[in-house]
Amino acid sequence: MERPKIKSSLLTKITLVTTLLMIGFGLAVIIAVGRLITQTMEDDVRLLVESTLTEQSHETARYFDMAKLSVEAMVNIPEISQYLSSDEPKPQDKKILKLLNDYSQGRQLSSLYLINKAGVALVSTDPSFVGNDFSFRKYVQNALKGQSYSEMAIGVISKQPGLYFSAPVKDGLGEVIGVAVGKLDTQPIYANLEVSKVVDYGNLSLINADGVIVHSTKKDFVYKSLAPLSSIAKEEIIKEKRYGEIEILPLDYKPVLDHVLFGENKFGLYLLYDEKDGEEEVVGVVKVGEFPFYLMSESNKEHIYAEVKKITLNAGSMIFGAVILSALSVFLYLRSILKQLSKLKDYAVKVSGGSLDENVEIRTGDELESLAESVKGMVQNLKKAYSGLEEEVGKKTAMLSSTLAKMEEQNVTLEESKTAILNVMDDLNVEKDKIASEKNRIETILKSIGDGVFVTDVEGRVVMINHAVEEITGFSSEEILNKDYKETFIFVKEDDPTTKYPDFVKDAIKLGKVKSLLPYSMLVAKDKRTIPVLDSAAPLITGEGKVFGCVVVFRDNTKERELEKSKDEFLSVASHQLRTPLGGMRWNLELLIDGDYGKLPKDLVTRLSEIHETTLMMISLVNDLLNVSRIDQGRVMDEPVEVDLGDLLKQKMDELKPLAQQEQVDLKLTVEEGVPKVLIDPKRFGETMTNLISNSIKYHKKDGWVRVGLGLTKQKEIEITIADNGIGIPKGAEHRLFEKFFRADNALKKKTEGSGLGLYIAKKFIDNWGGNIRVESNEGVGTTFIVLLPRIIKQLKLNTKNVNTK
Amino acid sequence: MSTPNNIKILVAEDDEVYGKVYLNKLTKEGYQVILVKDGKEAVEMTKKEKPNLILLDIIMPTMDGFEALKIIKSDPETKNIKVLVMSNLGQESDMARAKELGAEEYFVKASISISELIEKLKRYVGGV
Repeated sequence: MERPKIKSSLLTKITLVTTLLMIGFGLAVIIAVGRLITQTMEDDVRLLVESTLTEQSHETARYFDMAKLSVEAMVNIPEISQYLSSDEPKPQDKKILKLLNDYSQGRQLSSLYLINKAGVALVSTDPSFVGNDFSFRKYVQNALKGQSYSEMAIGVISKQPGLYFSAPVKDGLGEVIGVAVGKLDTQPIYANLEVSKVVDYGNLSLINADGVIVHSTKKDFVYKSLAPLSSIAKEEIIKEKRYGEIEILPLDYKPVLDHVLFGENKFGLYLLYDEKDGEEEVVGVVKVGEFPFYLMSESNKEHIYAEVKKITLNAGSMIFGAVILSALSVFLYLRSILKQLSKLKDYAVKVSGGSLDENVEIRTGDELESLAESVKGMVQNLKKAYSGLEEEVGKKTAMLSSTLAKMEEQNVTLEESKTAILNVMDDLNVEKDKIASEKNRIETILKSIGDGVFVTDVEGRVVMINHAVEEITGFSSEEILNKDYKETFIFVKEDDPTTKYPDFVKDAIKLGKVKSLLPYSMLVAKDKRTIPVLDSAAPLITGEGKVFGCVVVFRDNTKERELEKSKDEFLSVASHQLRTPLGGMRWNLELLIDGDYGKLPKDLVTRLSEIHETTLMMISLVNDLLNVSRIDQGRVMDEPVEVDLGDLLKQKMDELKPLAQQEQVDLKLTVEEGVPKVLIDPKRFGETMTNLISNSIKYHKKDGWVRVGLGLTKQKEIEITIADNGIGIPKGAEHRLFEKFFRADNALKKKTEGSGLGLYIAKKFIDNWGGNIRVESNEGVGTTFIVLLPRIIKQLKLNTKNVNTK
Repeated sequence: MSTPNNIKILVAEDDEVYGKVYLNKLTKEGYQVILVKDGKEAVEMTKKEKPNLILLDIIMPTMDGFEALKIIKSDPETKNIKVLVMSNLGQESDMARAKELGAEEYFVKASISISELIEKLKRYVGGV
């Protein structure tokens, strides 16, 4: 037996997979740890900045508060108010100066001075202030209005920034008489800022209400605005000489400035990108108590994150080391297990090679050992099975011999049966020959038929054609057979060749009934000639009534079609030729009767009128004859419009009024409500009704009446009744009434004119519209014609167009 | 007759019997009658005389009424002149063709009395 070669050992596979998995896992852990540390550090930084800055701001605010309170308390000293309210206070009054010096001791003020109502400093612990006008300062202006004020300003003399606290000095009546001003000793606060924890990562700055840095641990920040100042702010600053001659340059700290100008005095933390050095800065800002000052810390992000990177790197290398170590131990452990497995494999290889006496020793004390024991057990069983097999083979061979002997006997019997079957087959062959000759006969009959015949299966595929098909269509049998019949037999309508022709073969198969082609169909031959054909398709049905195909027979109809056409032309010409002299006669008679050719004697006019009547009769006979012929041929076309039958009947009866009056017949119309309008050719319908009603009028008796009614039957068909009390129709004549040229005996006696075509034409039209006409009559009592019409009238359609236009 | 005698009616009719009747009756009604005997003449006289109305036969020598109608109706100078076809042909297809070519009405001569014709005609050109 061939054994598949081992491409890569199990050991390599497992070690590789495990190592890859561990590396993947290790990487995921490193990334997760990195993320966690970053997140934590970010939170820490925020917390550090916020807490440090807030604490710093509290301390600074407390310091400011004390300074402010000192100044506000000082104005209550009575000597000061007395001094300022005196008529001519002496500048640097010794007593007051001493008082100020004493007061500033131990307080947060570096200098203390008093300013009169005009804004001029009178007494000051810093003598350089005395005599100077400070009225342009906001802290003076506000204090003179009665408000304490704190402000940063650049000293007029010192040119250094200072923080000033002012308070109004009032007299006994509460009138402001001067201002007390304390300049803050900034040294302790600034020193405090320097030692702040945030400074480890960056710097700390004090900002005033303009958004200008007045002090910073980073020296070059001083006098920089956070962002460009607005033009209004600039103007104000210049007017108040707030920064002396110093030009204020902007830092790119717009969000921080917005926070200072519009923030809610809360702590704010921002991440700003410095385009100059390409570094990100973490910036925190918070207000100093209630004072218009802010503390801002700025730290380099890189600086902070260096820590994070270091920690992540350390953790990463540790995890990586662990992974390598694990992979190594997996490898070593697996190797020891697989060594045992390999022993088992060698054993199995030997056993399958046939050496059933081999042995293997595996003492691992786990599933591997029990597997080895099972394999050994299997080998033992195999050994036993082998020894039993030979005995079994001996037994089976004996049985086979006896079976063979039996089969030999049966063979003889079979031989006999075969002979019998061959005899039957001979008989069958005779039958087959008979069928073949029958088929031949059918094929011969088919061939000799002059009409085209083709046979399809149920799918419409042509399975048989006769010779006439090839002759008529021009296609060969190879082109026709085994294809859908529609591929070679293309039928079209003569007057509308573009419309899709119905699949009449499918219909015949589906319905199991004979289907005819549409009248005036054409077959398109191979050379694109169109041949007029008459055609029908009959389904082929088995004895059990199952349709298994279709026979189509079609005939070249050219001659008949031509004959019909010439007949039509003949009719048209004949009617024209007949009408021409009759019409001429008519018009001339009319001129004669009207006296257009000169006045004629009365009895001559009467005679001429009779001739005129007769001429009209002849004309109408010609018209009727033509109509009948055309109706019979199906060459009449309706021009339907929507018609109110009641209105139309009324109109037609109005036209018949003169005739009725002449015959002294009472004419009445009853129209029921609810008869719908219908689509019908009004001219033809009118003619039909006139025909029927005038008939009823003509065959009247004395005191005659004609009642016309329009209504609906129970089946909602339209019903028109024309009833009269006239001469009636003789028994037995009713059913012949609608025949061509039929006129009842009593009618002949009454009126000699009448072609016998009127009722025939009326019935033809009514039938064609899908309705019917019947008559009920008693001779001598009266006649009722009943016309029923469907609500949707079938329209007469011309079968061919332009048969005759000349 | 109050019909203004400046109303011109062109009659195209090759049959003399009909021609005489038209001439007699229409003149009596006060119309100016131009009688022509074939389609070609009808076209020429229509263009020349610009009649108010044309009575047009179909079966005529040289050029039939359909052809004449087609020419008259496609000439911008004459296409607005109303045409009543007067023929003894009575097939639906003939009537349909005349209408298609632009005739106002189609009368079968034998089936209309001369007084009916005058009445119809007055609807187009006026007169009492």
